[in-house]
Amino acid sequence: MSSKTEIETVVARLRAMPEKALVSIGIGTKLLSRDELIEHVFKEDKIGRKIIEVQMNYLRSFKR
Amino acid sequence: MLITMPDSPPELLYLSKWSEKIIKIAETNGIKVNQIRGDKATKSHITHDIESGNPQFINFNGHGSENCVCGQENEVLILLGENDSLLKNRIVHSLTCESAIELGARCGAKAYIGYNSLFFFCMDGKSLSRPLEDRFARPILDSAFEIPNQIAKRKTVKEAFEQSQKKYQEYIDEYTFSESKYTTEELQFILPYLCWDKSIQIFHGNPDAKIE
Repeated sequence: MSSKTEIETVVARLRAMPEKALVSIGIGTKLLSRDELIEHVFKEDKIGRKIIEVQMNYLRSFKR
Repeated sequence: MLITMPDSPPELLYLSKWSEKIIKIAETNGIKVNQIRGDKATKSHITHDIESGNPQFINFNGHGSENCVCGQENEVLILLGENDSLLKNRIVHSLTCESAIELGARCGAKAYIGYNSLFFFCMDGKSLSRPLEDRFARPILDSAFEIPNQIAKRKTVKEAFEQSQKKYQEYIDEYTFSESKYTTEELQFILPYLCWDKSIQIFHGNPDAKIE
């Protein structure tokens, strides 16, 4: 379970994505647009949780 | 060497296009390349070609999970416990998700280089028909493909792994610390996935293995 702050932070970052950008997740499994990524994050399903993990890992790397 | 080059779903076309460079490097270095393209990237086809061609190095491009790697339309090519013996005593690079966790650790390959979690890459929806011109995809795929490019230069697994990690880091540093042709939004889009993929790349087996 991710915190509300984490979800809000990740969604804010995803909203800033270039308009036509896509993310391939799982190579050949999911090809997601900005809105689809945000939907998964709000749902906190398996893909949403992984997106949160990737984004938060990146942000936390600045604290090391 | 043998390389799978599925081209559907569309993301796989990107990997196939990036693989063209491996073929050129291998041929320059006197290595014969068996290219398993498109609809031929099936279990029956690769089984036949591995058994008959006995390749020292196999490069998989495609979907994967902890215990399998896939080909065209995500057909399972190698499944742990079923036909993983096809990989025994070979060098394997698997640009697939998660397959380094179980399949890579237990298949008996001389060396297995891959990823231990979900692999992400960025794409520009305006470049789908021209993958090699996709500037969002380039940093991650250039870095990942350093592995087969180096193996095809007859470098060791350790050298290939280090070169790929170095390439990831060079892109991370370039995009973090220097001015670039990307906007801030584009950099902040690409960087988390670039850092992630670097962190989940691993190898099992003999670091000194190379194509003889």
